[in-house]
Order: sequence, then C-alpha cells, then structure tokens
Amino acid sequence: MNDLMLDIRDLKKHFSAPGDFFSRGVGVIRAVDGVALQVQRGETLGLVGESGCGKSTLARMILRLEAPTAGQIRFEGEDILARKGGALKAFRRSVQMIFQDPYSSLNPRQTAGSIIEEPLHIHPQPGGREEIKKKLREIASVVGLDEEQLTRYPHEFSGGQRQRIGIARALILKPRLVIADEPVSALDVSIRAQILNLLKRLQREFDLTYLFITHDLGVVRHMSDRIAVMYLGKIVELGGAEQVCGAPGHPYTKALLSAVPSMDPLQKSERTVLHGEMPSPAAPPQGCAFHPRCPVRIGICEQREPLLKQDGAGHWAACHLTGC
Amino acid sequence: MEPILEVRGLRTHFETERGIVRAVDGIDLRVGAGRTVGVVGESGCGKSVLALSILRLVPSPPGRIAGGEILLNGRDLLALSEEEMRKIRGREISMIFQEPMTSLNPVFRVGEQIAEVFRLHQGMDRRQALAQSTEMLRMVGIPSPEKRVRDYPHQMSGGMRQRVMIAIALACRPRVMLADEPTTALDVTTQAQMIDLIAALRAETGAAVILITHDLGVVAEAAETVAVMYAGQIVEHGSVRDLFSTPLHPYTLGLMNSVPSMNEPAGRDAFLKAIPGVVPPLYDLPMGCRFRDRCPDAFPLCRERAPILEEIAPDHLCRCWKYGEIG
Repeated sequence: MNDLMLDIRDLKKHFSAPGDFFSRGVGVIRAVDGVALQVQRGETLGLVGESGCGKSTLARMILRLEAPTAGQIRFEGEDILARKGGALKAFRRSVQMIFQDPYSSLNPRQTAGSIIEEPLHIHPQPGGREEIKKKLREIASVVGLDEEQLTRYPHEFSGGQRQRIGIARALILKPRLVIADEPVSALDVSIRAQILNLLKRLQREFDLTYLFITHDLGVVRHMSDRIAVMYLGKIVELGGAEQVCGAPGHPYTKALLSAVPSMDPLQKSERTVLHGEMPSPAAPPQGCAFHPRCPVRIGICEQREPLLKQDGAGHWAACHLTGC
Repeated sequence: MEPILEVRGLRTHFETERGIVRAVDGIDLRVGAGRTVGVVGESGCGKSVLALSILRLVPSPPGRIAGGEILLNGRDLLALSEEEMRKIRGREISMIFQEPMTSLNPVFRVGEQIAEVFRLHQGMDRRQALAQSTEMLRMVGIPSPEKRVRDYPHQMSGGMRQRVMIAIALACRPRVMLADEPTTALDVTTQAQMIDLIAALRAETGAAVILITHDLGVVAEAAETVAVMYAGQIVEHGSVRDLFSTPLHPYTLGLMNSVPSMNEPAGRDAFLKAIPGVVPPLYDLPMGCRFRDRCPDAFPLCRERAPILEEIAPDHLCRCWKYGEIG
C-alpha cells in the first residue's frame, strides 16, 4: 500500500491569545505546532490525544475551515492551501466530515431527508430532482434509515439514529477521505458498537480513507491501521495500531494506555497515573513538552526537544529515551 | 456488614403526555461504610433518577416517588419533612455531578462555594469557613490551594473543577457520596486521577459511595459491587469479580462485547458484537422481559412473563428466564 492521499508537512496553527478584559493579548497559542503526517489511500489513520492537544484544529485545517499559520497540505498530490473558488469546492467534495455531537450538528428545522441531500444541492450534479431522490434513498438504506424516517425531524431520532443521518450526509457525495471527529463519543455503549461496525462496513463498501479522531484508545485501536498520538500540538508517536498499543515507544502513550480502565478486575494493572495536567499551549515547557509530567525524564529532556525517531519499522516516537 | 444506605423497592414515576414513565421501577440496593457500589447502564435506564430520588430531588410534578424505602442508618428518608431532608443533603449524603462547569456557580469564587457548605451545615463564620475550604482544596490535590481558593470556576481546568466539586461534596464528611458520571466529561489521564482520588478519600473518610456510570471499565476499577440497570430495573447484581468474569444477563454480556477491548485482535475484519436495536421507550414497555426484543437468547416465555431478579449463584443476582426456569 503506497498510494499517498494526504500529505501534511510541518503544519502549524498559532492563535494569538486574546487576553482577558483587563489585559492585552499575552502571546501565541501554539495549537498545532509542526505536524507532519501522511495518510495512504484506503487506510484508517487514528489520531489520539486529550482535549486541547490540537487534534480538532488539525482536522479543521485539512478541511480548509481554518487557515494554517505555516506548512503544507497536499491532497492527492495537489496543494490544497492554494486552492480557491471552484477548485476549492471540488476539493471539499472529496473530503467530508462526521461530527461528534449528533445533537448540535443537525439543523432542527430540516427533515432528515433534506439534511442528508443538502450536499447534493451545494455540489449540483447531473440528473436533477429524480437523481437526488434516488441517491438519498440509496444512502439512507446503506446507513440503516427507513425511507419513512426521512420526513422526520432530528428531535424525533435517538442519538444513534442522528449519527446515522450525519454519516449519510457525509457520504452522499461519495467522498474519498472522511474525517471523523469523535464520531461515537456522545453515544451510548451499545449504540457506539453499532456505529463503529457501520463505519467499518462503509469503508469496505465505498473504498473510504478515514482520519479517525478520538480520545478513546480502545476505539482507536479497534478502528485504525495506524495511530498517531498528539500532545500539545505535536505528534509524539506514530506507528501501526498494534505497535503503538502493544509496544508504545513514548511515555505519554504508555501513560494513556495504562489510564484506560480495564474491564478485567483480575488484571488490575499497575497504573502510571500522570500527575498534573497538560500545560497551556500558550506557554509550552522548554525542551520536551511532556517532561514536567514524564515519569522517566532525564536531564536532557528539559533542554532539548526530542525529534521523531524510528523505533522499529514504520514506528516513530519523539522521546530521548527511545531506542536507547 | 450493616449497610449505611439501603434502598428497598424504590419506584419513581413521571407523568408525561405519553403515559407514566417508570424511570425507577423497583430498585433494591445497599452500600456499607467505605464501600463502593457501581450502578451501570445506558442513558434512560434510570440511574440518574435513582440518585436524585435518594436525595429526594426529583422534580415534582411531573415526578414522584411512588413507593419503596430509602434507609439511611435505618431511618427512612421518604418519611422526613423537607426541612429535615435539607439537613441531610450535603451533610450526610452528598452528590458529585457530571458537569463541573454547569454545576459550579460561575460568579462566585470556588473558595466561597466550598465555604457555603461549612457555613450552612456547621455554622462556621466566613473566615473559618474559607480556611476550611483551603484545607479541602489541599485534600483533593489542588496545587497552591491558598491561591486557588480565590479562583473563579472559569479559571480552572475541567479536572480541577471536578476536584472542586469533590471538595464540596466531601466538605461535611458525608456518610454517603453519590457520584453521577464523575469522570465522563474528563480525559482518560484526568479520569484515572479522579478514580484514585475518590478511592483515597473514601478510605480516609469511610464514606459509602454510589458510583453511577455508563463506563464498565470505571466500575471494574473503582467498585466492589455492581448493579446493571436496564429500563428502570436492575437486571444483574453481583461482586465486580463475579460479574465481570461470569456475566449472567445477556444485556451485561452485550455491553461488555460492545466495548472494543485492548486485548482482543482488532483490524479490518474485527467487528464488534453489538446489541441490536435501541432501549424501548419507558412509557411503552413490551410485555414480559424488557430486553427481549434485543436479546439473542430470547424464547417464547420472555414475551409472556416478566422475569424476576433471582440469586443464580451465591450473591450473584440476575433477571433472566434463561436461569429462572431451572430454579
């Protein structure tokens, strides 16, 4: 598999910190601070990290909803940051998003059917009204919605059904890349499993490439071929799902994995509970951004920022101790 | 062991336009000092209404406690006057809510919000109460508490706000602590900190904890006993060890299979064994077993008669005809 779909190089997004009512802006928030990432056609790349690590900002930049401060994004070989007008619109057709909250991401005044078919009006296609209705019926049945339900309004649906509407809306244009930002976090456990299964089935059926963003390690391991772990605006580990979850190379990934509560009460693991919290991206620590919380830090960590180093085939970690 | 809090046959109903919603429909639960009972279930199973009922905070109308007993050290809370109940809340039974942002008052400093509890229940003056608040912040692990006591909620992170909520809940050293999804809004690393904190404080104060959550992993880590709720009823009850090693109810098993495990193979062809369908509306429950339409093991009896909660193995209860027929 070597068919590069998305190629991100040294991508940065710095927001100027607004300051509060009494003080002027205090500096720069480095939400995304030099991310390089490649997504191959047909794969699922999982992006994990805790709130505030910059994963959603990264997704928004790929969708051109946020302009990067610096860096490059290439989609199927073409620079998408230079695109405007019709060319930008064509790009947006190929990349669609599934949102976290099925409650706030659907217009309460539109019927399910009109929500799902709206992308076809924004990106008109030959065939007219008949064709639109045909596509609507097709996609609805694929995601498991009855035709009769299409005339109903979002409040008449459960959370899981709403997420199916969101998925149908994202897929009706037959996109090539789908960015799913915490698509199951707002759902109940049993419904979550239904939606994860649906997303896997759709990937197979429509030959989709997923960028799957979540804070849930169990979900990301289950869904992804490769996993990227983000901390404070940077990727600290990248590798195959089994490599990252089975033999993590970065102490942050290790801590994340050990923080996942285990359902097996006999296997009460020794947990590495991280102390403190993620520092503010307005004032990231010197050296390795993780060093103040790191259980295995050494002298150099306070001074020099570690770069991503190879820790086995296709497995990278940004830690001074990796490979030692 | 003598339970501190015992719930017997509790029923809480809501009158709605569509009919009576039996949100809590005959719940029995007991928890002893220094113990944690986990109540697990999905949205709409009645677990939060159970917590509100114990504190007698169910909005009425439309809600009403239709029957049962809630015994705190043998004293029935349902028989108390509102005046007496007010003295119980916060002092003997307290609650940690899910959303620390919406449960804290944004216009008061966190110190004053903790101090309020001391002033109300222990009659301290302002200065004493503030000094105690600082101590509470220290106890829940907030760094430089003498400074943080003057913060407003928005100046704190989610994890710190949840620590403040826990400080408020523990201020009067309550005998029972109700925690309703205390870690759901938090990141995994913060969640792990909170689980450890609640366990440490429980050991220190000897409080009984009722931990309400949808997360099976959190229960397995933090509780000794578990009750699994479905559509207003407990469908399985047992020790954490028994319930997770040999789940009896098809719903419990279904929930466990729905969570991607860190130990099982993943990848392209790994699909989860999802529970089909959705929870039935509580105003229109099916005849017989409430889970039967989603159940892989359902057979004709399940349509006809509602199963009862029976002891299938020692101290391991289950509401399912699969086992009931034998006994």
